[in-house]
Amino acid sequence: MTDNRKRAVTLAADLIAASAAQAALGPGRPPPDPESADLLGNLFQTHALSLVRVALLLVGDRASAEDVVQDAFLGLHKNMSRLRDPAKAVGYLRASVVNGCRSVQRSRHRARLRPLLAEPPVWSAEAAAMASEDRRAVLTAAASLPERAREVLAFRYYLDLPDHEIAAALGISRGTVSSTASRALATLARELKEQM
Amino acid sequence: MNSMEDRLREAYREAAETIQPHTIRGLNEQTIQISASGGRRKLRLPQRALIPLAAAASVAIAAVLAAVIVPQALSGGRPGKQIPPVTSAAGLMPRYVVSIVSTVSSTSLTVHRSATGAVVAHVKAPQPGMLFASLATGDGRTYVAVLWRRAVCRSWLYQFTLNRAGQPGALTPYPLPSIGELLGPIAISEDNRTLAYVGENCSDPTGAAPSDLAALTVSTMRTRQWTIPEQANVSSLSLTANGGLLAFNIDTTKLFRSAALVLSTNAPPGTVTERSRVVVSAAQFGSTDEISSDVITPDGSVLYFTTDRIGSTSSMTNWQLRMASVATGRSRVVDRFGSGFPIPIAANPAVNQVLVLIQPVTFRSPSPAPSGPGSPSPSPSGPATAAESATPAGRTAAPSPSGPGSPSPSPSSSKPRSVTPSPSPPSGQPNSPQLVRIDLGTGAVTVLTSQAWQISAENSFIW
Repeated sequence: MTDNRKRAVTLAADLIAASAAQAALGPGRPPPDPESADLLGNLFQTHALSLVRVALLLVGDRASAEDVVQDAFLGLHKNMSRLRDPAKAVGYLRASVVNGCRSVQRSRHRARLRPLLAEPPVWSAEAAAMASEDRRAVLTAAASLPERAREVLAFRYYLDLPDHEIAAALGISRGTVSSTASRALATLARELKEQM
Repeated sequence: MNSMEDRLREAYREAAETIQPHTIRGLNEQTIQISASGGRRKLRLPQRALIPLAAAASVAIAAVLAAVIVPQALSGGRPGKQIPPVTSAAGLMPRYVVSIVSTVSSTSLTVHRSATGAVVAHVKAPQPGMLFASLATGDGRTYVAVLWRRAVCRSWLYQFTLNRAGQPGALTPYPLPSIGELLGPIAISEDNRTLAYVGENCSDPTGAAPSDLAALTVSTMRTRQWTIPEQANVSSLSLTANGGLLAFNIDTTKLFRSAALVLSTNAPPGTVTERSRVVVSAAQFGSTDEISSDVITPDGSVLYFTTDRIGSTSSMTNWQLRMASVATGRSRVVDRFGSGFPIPIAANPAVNQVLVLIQPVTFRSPSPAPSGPGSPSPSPSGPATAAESATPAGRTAAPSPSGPGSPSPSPSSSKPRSVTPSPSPPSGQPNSPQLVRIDLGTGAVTVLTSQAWQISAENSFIW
């Protein structure tokens, strides 16, 4: 059994345990549905890594990214009974991750006057996580783009999603996705050129 | 694929791969969290967030972009009392347009000559570290600017005037020098007696305080505020000549369909939705239409606004400039435009000319579009489109039967006066935005040259 397969089995077991724990907490909650747990397990196996990674690109630090994705899966788990079309689960997760990342950014925005322990973003020199200076510069410039632009770029150029799926995840029109990406790329190109 | 896209993909990949599959937390940790928190999410990790400077800059720049800056409608109907606006010889439009130019690290203002786009002056922030967030003028002469500092929940207001040569005077503090909020769009009345703004109450550490729409009477320093519902986004502020009526846009979000509304600046406190009146709603134009910006005329009788379609395929994008009677809400199309999306319109003080920054659409997989009367041009290079003028040159459509001086909106016409600015500039830059000037009286559309105007989607033009 490969490591990935072992991990998938472990995660599925974790999900069932999570379902049981969740169900045990509140009277009147439906018992855990093995099919739901399977679905969640499969979703986690298939999408958790990419979601954590794209969340990392949006919020900068790994801990927050993992929190966001955990919350997204927890939210999906809690609303599983209302999910009529399993095919929409991925879209739900993406939208949840975007919203979670926005919440993280807003909380930072509001808390920025308070002294806080800092975890530098993964693209910073302090983090020493990325070897390429040019790539760090690209992500530093990308981090200074508006929120929506960062989201669109990450979904388009990391997840390689088509525009209509990005639009669905971000709750905006397809045209806005396209125009936002165009503007963001132009800005990045200009800023990086100016820095040289 | 261009090199910027390549570099971005590479950078994303390297950053993303700092997280390896075997290192991410499993959902079993959530089980513990659920149990420990009595069923309530969530036991978060210790907060370790600190907004880096670069991110703070992004907030500022985002707000500059998000700040839908529409200078308000103003009339020149008070001879003798007002300082005359710096207008062109024809008196139809101000001689100068000011733009906010944003970069990652700084912002500045650039003064352009209206006729040619030539840059005649620059305005820098009054102190190092300050960023221009938004700008408005009521009379085409006096400008009020909102400035932010990174990592500070406060906005500073400064004002300056342009002389007849377009040279700015010193930036001086506005009568209300600062506000403990982050201000977004603002509007100033013609007499500079009323300032309207959208403020975010960022000082609340819980984040519970909502944003508000406010009108300040400068002479008394009295402010009336109206709460903006959570998840609503208010933009496109404009005031009538006497500052008595405030027009604004509620943007399309997950909870709201966009609409253009008016609010009496004497209205008692309450929520924006309670105290305002919807003039036009996006829903009346179609299930996927949105109103993206609007501006009210000086006398408060007419609202000009732009509509586009959410979710339209890339080859069918089109937008319309419309007008509506503020009294009745009846509307009609002024002009239809081809490919691209309008970034909010900026009207001159008399509201007889508007500047529209048009963001072309990236055509990933072109497909045929419907054609015929009333339909958008089928492609960026279709027969209905025009090449960009090498120099500013008017492209005249049939004049509007009701100019801004005597607006009498009628129900939407099924036959648009189609004037389609070029959706694709020359020189192989298909994604470059375009700036067009539309004469609301004659319907003439002038495509402004990008080189002279330093056109960028990040720049806001204030007239």
